[in-house]
Amino acid sequence: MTATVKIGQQLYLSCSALDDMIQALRGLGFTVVGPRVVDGVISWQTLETAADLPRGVSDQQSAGSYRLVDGEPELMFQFVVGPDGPKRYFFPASLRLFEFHVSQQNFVLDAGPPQVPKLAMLGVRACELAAIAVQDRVFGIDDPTTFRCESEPYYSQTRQESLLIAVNCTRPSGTCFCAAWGTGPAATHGFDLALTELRDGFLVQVGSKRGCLLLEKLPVREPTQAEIELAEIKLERARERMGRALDVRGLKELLDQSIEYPEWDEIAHRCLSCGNCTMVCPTCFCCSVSDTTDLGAGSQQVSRTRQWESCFTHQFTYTVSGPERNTIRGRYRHWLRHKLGTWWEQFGSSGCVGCGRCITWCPVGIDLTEEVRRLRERSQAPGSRGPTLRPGEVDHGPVSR
Amino acid sequence: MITPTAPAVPTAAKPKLAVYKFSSCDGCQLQLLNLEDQLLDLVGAVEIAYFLEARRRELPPPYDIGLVEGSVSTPEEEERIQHVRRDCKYLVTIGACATSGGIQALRNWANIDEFVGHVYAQPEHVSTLETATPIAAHVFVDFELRGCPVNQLQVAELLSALLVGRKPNIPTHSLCIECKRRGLPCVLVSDNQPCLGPITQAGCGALCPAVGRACYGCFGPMEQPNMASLGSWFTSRLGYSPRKMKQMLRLFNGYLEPFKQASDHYERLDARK
Amino acid sequence: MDQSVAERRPEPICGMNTWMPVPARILDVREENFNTRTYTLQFVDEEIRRMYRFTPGQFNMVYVPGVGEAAISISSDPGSTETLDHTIRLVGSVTRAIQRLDTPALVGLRGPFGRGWPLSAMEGKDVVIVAGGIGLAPLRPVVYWLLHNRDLYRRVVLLYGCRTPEDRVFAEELEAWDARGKIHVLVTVDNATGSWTGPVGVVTSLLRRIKVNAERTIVLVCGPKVLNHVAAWNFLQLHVPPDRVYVSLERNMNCGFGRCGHCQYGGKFMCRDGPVFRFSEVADVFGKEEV
Repeated sequence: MTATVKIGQQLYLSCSALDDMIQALRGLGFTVVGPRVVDGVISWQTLETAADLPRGVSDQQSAGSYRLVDGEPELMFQFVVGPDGPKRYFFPASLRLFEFHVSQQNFVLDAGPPQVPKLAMLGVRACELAAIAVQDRVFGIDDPTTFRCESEPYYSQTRQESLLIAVNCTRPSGTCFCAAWGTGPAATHGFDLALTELRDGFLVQVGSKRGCLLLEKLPVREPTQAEIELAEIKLERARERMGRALDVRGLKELLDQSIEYPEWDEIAHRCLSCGNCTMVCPTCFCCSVSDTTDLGAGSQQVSRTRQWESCFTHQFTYTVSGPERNTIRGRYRHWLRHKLGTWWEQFGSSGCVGCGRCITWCPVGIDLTEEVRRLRERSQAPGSRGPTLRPGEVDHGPVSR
Repeated sequence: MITPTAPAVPTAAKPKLAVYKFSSCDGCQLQLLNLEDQLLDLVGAVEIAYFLEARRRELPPPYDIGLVEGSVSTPEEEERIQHVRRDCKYLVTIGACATSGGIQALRNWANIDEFVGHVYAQPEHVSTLETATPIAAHVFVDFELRGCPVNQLQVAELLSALLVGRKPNIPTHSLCIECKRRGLPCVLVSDNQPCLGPITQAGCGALCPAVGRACYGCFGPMEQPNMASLGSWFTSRLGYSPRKMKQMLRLFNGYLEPFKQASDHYERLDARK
Repeated sequence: MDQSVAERRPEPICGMNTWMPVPARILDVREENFNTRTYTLQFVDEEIRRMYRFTPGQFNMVYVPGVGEAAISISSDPGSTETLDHTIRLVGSVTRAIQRLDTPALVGLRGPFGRGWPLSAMEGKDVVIVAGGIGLAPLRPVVYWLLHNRDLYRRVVLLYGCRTPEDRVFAEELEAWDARGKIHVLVTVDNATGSWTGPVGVVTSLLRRIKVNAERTIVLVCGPKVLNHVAAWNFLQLHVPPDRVYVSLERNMNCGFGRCGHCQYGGKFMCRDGPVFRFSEVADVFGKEEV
């Protein structure tokens, strides 16, 4: 046991002590959640011991392809992100909000709201920390202008209860491009602890008071200068080995002016509009709340459920006069323009963190970085026009498409 | 595709329910009987007026809701479906046979006399149509439930929604969304299996991917499926032949557009080789 | 209600949870036309009745238990919130379910959501209100507001168009508003049925009958998509600056406060940043398909 641990301090935790950490967290009443091998992929599941972690497993990712392969047998975090991540726990794919019945005077609550779990997330990658920060803004978690009736209580409470233990990426995958956004490969903030895996242990960086308290219960020691340097080298190497690159300069403006580019038609030939990219994206937040009744009680007994929704579905923009976005072209364009462009206007940041999931899990391998490159080429091509209409340029009559 | 709209089911008396069988295996009707927990509620909520598989008693038409299982495959059925339509205010086709023609629609690409001759000892006693066709090819259909068989939760949702006047929560998007919500690993991306999920309508609860198998499209085409894109990925990246593609698409819903058009396309490609 | 209250975004109400609507009773139902009715609702809870405020142009999520919610603008006087009016056209499953209800049934409400009409920017200006069909509903609170605070504004003109004279919503009020002389009301119809002797044609054809002083005019438009576009373009062509043309738009809405993603319009959330937009805010996507 060491003396008091301070925020910002770096310490060394041996590999064998990782299980002590998991048990300490469980002892504190946390459900520990982290990466685990399930049916050939890395999936976020409950961890009971450190043995549940995918030791000796690595991944190979490319556009539309994901494989687990054997890695170095003693390493625990040689893979990067799988199809899911912490989002599923803070913002569940399907959440029964409450059940109520209708009385003469009121809607009487029968069940709910759902219990808020106390989660310790172990193995959160830097891109996912960035994504969590994005969703915090989306759900208005610290926004003072959010009225009670505009808050997402389940998300906010689960987030506030949770502990985030990050793992820095020393081996990016073939579809990673966090370096382009500066969201990785090393976690810089927003974590309680951040681990960098060395050969037989971890260099731990302390990010919060709660992180300090946890480390104080564990057998840590001061790291050697060599260990600190090794961690730095590993992260520097990772930064250089990103599988994908994205030029993020002027992206918002590029997408602003891209509305009528012919590239969208071409993408629409390939895009399946299946919604996989939105389902695996760690920042996508679209959802629907709908009512369920059972056959017996009819409309007297109602439950309301919130489910993940995708902007790639036809029903998503359904109005009486038909769906607003009636073509795959329109839906893909909306998704990409939102993710990389209009997100800034809404939440003050990009909606993309460079995790590469949408590239890997697209069944036909559509590559966001490649599509952006094509749009950029178009914007630089001679004769490419900006937006067809600007305030002031008003004499053209209604714009055609 | 039939867009779900709110039905006008009367609220006063108990609505009368009729369940009809056409050329089919009865599996979809069984899903209705398999509702178990909700069956009692169903009997409480609607008057089962005509359901030969469940009860002998028949009440005279008209009926408020008619569920039709099976395809139209015989001259007798061709005539009967017209009566069914007349008898039911709100007509719902249940299952792949009723919505697409089903497996028996495979004969639509073959010579019927040859088939009959192979199968029956005395083919002259068999009275059948050249084709097996979906109900909607004959009469207007108000709503359809897909699947081989239908999903009983969807049957319950449809009936509950009709009773309270809700738009039935029956998605028309891809199976992938349902699969990903369940957190299942993608068998196409992680295992190269020829999964039809990205072009297939959701609703089964991602049954096949849940056991590590590729979806074989028994819920039929989703809204605006991009057949060409998935098809070319399968043929060029996964190495499936046009013949195999045709067979995959023609399993349960081959006679339903745009599976039909795509399977015909692969048939032509296959013939050209 | 004083001016500052109308300008500040009022706090929306909901039940114990963000997604739990608050019960309100149907006190009165009035037929507007063959498929449109105005419902007068009152919150069951007296405390909420006292607290509730809205600004003209805002909407509530109107809820029928077991069926679902629809975003429907508030059509009553913002100065008296003891009861609320919602003018509802039968278009989908929720509105159909509402139309099956009668007094004294319960519905649910969450709201008010969104940003309404620019009451203070209108001050000292000529106000031209352009409405088509049921698009008059979200503008009716503005009319009330103008009538209560008539001195703050210059000329007020209401241009209203609908298919036939029988399709007019708030028909009697239209006549009464005009008769009081405080607002100039012009109505046109697509088809002159019955004894109609007034103008025939699209709403914007009424523009010939009024004088628009572009220097000091502010325009409020609400109607079907085509009208919104055509009317906005017409006023811009008359040199009304794009930051003084306001349109109220429509999208599929689910949450009402910018968290569910459904109603996005370019970079805007229709429910949170709209439904009323200054033309200059949405000029880059206005008239574009599928944005």
